[in-house]
Amino acid sequence: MVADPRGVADRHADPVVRALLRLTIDVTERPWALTGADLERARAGGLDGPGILHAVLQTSLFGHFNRIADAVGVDADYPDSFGAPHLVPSTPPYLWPDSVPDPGTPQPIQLTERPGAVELVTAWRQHALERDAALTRHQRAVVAHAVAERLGDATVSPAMPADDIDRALVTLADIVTLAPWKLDHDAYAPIRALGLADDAEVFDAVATASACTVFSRLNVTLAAFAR
Amino acid sequence: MSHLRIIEPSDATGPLAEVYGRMSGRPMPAIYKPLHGGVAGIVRAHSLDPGLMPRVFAFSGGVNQSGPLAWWQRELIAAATSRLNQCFY
Repeated sequence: MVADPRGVADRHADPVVRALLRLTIDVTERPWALTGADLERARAGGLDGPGILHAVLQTSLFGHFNRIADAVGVDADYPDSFGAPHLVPSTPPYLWPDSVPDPGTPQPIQLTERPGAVELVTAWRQHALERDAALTRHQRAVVAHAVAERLGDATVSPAMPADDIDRALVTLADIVTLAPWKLDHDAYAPIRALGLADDAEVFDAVATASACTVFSRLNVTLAAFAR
Repeated sequence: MSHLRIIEPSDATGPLAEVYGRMSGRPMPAIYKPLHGGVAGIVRAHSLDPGLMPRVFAFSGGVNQSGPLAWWQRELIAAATSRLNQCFY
């Protein structure tokens, strides 16, 4: 079923399956393009507000898991009994936003509706952004802004690259956000060459960017539903 | 092929060993227990940041241990997201 999510999203007999897959695809690939019409389509497919929020949270979480698994290159826990598809490294990156949802518009679905979600996101965000090692706090802000720009999240304060390491971190954040299947030794070479050489330092850079994809994806999706 | 180092539970010391211990003690449906009997790869993939690991998996638990979507619906989303992102872990 999941070998071709787009095809199944169009053709599956169950409207709930179609609604879940369409939402998963849009939140993963172009959350900035969602609108209230997509929200209504999900409702018409049989999902209610709490179910839609749950789906957005799950999609965002697995976006992080995918990025970390690929960034580290961890082996599968299970034998490949089904003939898993192969990586296509030449796949074009996800698109940059051509519009940015206004986070100030009252949102029809809010994170506060899910008990405990705000606290869990806040705890993760504090760890990701409010530390000074390995990345500095400024470098974390640069990464957060780079990710936010690429997902259409207008809630993140601008933080411009000030030196070569910042610029290399933006390049890495670009891969993490828009082409996570390209995370490998080559992707890490620029920041290693500029001094973030240890694996723990590289992991901090990737994990910070990946965390920010979760935060920005949630922000953008819920803001976009208000259009 | 590993791109970044993984500190295995057997090699962990200090805060990471403590976090691994807490992670292995959390309730988990049998279907999520890896066949190799060890700690799941996605958990070990966070081993270079012991402060991050509990925050990520607290969030994961909050999303997955309850909520309006059924198990098969959550799994459908997880599998589709991974396919789109070309993550074959």
